[in-house]
Amino acid sequence: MGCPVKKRPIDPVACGFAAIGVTLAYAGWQFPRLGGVVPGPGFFPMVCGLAMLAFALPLFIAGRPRPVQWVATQQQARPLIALILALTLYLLLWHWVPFLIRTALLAIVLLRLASVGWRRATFAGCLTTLALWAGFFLGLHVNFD
Amino acid sequence: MTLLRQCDADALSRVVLILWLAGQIVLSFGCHSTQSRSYPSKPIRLIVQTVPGGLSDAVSRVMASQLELQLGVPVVCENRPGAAGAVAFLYVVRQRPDGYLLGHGPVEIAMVQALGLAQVGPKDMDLLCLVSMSDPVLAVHSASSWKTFNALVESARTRPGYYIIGNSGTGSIWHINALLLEEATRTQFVHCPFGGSAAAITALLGRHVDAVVAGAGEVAPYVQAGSLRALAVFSAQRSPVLPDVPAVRELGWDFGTPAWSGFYAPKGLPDPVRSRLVGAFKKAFESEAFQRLCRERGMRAVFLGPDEFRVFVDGQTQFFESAIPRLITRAWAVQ
Amino acid sequence: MSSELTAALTQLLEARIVGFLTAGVGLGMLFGALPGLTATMGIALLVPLTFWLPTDQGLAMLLGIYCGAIPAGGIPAILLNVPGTPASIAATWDGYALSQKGRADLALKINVFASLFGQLLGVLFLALAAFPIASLALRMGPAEYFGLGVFGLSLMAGVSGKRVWEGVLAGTLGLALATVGLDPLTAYPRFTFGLPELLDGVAFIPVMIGLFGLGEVLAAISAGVTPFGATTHRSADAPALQRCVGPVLGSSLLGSLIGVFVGAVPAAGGDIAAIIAWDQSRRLSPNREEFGQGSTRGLAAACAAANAVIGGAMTTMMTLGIPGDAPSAVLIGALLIHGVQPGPLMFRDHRTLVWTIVLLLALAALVTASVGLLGSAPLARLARVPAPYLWMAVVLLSITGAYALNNSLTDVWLMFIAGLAGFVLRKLEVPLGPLVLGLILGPMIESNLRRALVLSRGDWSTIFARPLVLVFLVAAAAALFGPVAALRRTQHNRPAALSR
Repeated sequence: MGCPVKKRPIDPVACGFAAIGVTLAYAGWQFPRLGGVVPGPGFFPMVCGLAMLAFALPLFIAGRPRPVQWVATQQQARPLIALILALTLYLLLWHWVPFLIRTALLAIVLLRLASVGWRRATFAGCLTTLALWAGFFLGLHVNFD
Repeated sequence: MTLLRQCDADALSRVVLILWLAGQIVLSFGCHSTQSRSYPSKPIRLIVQTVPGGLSDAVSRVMASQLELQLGVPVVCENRPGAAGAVAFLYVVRQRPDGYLLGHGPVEIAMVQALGLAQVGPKDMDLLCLVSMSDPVLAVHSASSWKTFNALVESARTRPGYYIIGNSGTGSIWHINALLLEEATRTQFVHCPFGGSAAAITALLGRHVDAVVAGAGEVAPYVQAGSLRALAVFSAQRSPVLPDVPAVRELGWDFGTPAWSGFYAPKGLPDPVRSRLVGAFKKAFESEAFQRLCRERGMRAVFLGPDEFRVFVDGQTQFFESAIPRLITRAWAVQ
Repeated sequence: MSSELTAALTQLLEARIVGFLTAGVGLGMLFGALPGLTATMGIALLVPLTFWLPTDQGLAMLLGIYCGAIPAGGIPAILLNVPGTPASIAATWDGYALSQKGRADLALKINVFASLFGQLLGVLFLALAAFPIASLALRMGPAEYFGLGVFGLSLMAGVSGKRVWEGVLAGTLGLALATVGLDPLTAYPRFTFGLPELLDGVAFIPVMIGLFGLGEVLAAISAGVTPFGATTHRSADAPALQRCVGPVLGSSLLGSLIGVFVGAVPAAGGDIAAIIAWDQSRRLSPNREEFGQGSTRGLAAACAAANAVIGGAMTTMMTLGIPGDAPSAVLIGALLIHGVQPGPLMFRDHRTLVWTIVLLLALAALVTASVGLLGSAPLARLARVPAPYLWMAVVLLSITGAYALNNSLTDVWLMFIAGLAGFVLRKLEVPLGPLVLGLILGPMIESNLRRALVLSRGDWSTIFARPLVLVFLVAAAAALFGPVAALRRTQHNRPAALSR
């Protein structure tokens, strides 16, 4: 991505989008062209990629510093990471653990992460899970397993 | 006050927990005990390959409501749309063949493999029955100068690659039929795919395309209203919903392949279960509700049992496996 | 005409019809208020139930669902920042901001009033101007849809707030995401990585739920602030309501007119209508900077447009037999089963039924509004539920909503990934509105441009020679370059503005 003007911070957003743009344009170029006058499947991805590259340029030139504060304080990092892990685990166990058990557990973990007491967390988690199950499974025949 | 609330929450949480555990236990018991009883003893799921609202969905839901009366257990439709139905087919063939999970099988079960969408086909399925067929119809705007099918073919021969036929999507059954028309009459059209037959017909009503190939039931209302003119049914016989429109066979041509609706289960269904299901499907097919649906939506009510359906589907699969690669590459080369 | 009107009126006064209508409204509000369940789905699921009902009673129920679901979609949009239906995306921008300021009650009431206004105005157009509107809709060919799509896309500069360039980039990313799946013209698989679930493209509703629902929870947890739920709460008292009557009425009128037109156009629905209305009302407003920060005008325009779409879509459906949006496509199927063919003949053969539909829509709008009005105060109290419980509810609803749409686990994963992406983009100050806009409009723009080129046999010039296309494209250019020029001016005057 060229040589940044000195003392200018590199904008991660501009670089990220430029990279996506280049990938898209390249992928679009690789799609089969139909040999006719009408644009093929690669036309639109290519236009999007080039547009992204073009729109990233002004941001890159502006070189605005982008201080990203992922978490407000160290205290918030733990629940954030724990929630993402809990959700990943939840989705991985989708076919192995019945809906009522896995969802109630997720709800309780979530409330515990937000430092809700054990009893209240269990109560609210189970109640919400049951309500969802009743509404979706009994009411709408949506099968979550 | 706070203490009181805490106590309440405490007691309630215990009650809820106990109730919930009890529910789990009852559920697991329910699952075990069903296996010993005779089929069917629990709800049956019927997987539909489209979003709610379409023709496949309507056929499935009417059939499901009639099956409920025959089998005495709930039959619940579940929509799993995607990839011309391949998502649903792949899902169904991977389930246990216990008769509690069935699928709605449209013409696409014979097409998705040839279209290269997924490695799944009739060979992975236990076919139960076919219940209806929809004939392809070529329609033009009522203000168009073409009064007959042969007039359209004549015009197309004088101006190859000029007239535009709209269809419901590339690789759809109606697109294949438009390509068959080209091949049989040795003409060349521009094919414009739309997102479904309704959109293609809209474009024809606005005269953005010259003609449309779509299902008889989809075109018939506009023909009856006088806004469209149907020129031919791509079939050996006329369509009941358009009795005045000639079949191509009468005009001296022989091409066209219908859309159809059937039902299937994962491969390996026990014989008693299959015969129970086919019997129920047959009764449901004969019901007034289903026959009325066929009349209203312009389908031919045709019943084929498992063996005849298998023969029919094998023929269709062979046909599409040779026709689709030939026709689609030809269409691409022209565009 | 009057005899058919009175016949329809006397029919309506039957207690059963009112009963089925109210039941429909109740069910519809449930479908609308739960993210992932849409009005379309509600109607489709209940169509078989109406097989055994007489036509007018069945219709009362189905139209009740339609009219109840759209306003109810605004409730989670206002309280939780999760749009209940796609039509309520634009309602999150000002509705949620109002709710965070402790004005949830006011926001919910505006939603009710603007929705009622939009629905009634839409019905009025249906009753008085059905055929002129329909003939305009029929003139829209692929080239015109492309123009409309580009116009819709040009609004992404408007919905980006201060970060115009980031917004445009996010919009382009949305367009790129929309290319995933089978190519609409050649059926060539693009960016599907061999997954059959991706052949139909990135499902838009799970992405929307993830970006706005889960993403918001993650961002709130990371910031350590109470995310939903305001610290203060004010109920909408009479003076507060009086103050916003003027702006709300004006915006509702503008929003309704846009909604009727967009609704009448086949293949464009409430989501696009509401976004366009929100942006147009921002443009005409004396205090633009209020928009997105809790503007009553913005909320009213968005809600009115989303609901006026019903009247517009029904107009196209009843005059031409063509669905004006997704729910009306399902309604056509339902009418067919009852032996009624929507289309020009309906006005000849079933005149009483036409008036019945018009009156049912008006009645459903009134029932929905009264239920909404009664419910707004208790619902507003939801905004005061402690944050952790709301987080849990949003996370669980995001999961169930994403799954229930297509019974697809892939969609839940998609929702999860969209939630993570929403969190990261929020932290990088990239606005999410344009991303959704690109995702909605991408297929419309791409497929119709290429379709138009097929029709013109590869000739670009004939596309731009069509008058309606030109109108859309000029409007798009004005909308796009207006904000950029404004930004340049502020940059020029105050160089510090960008670096904050």
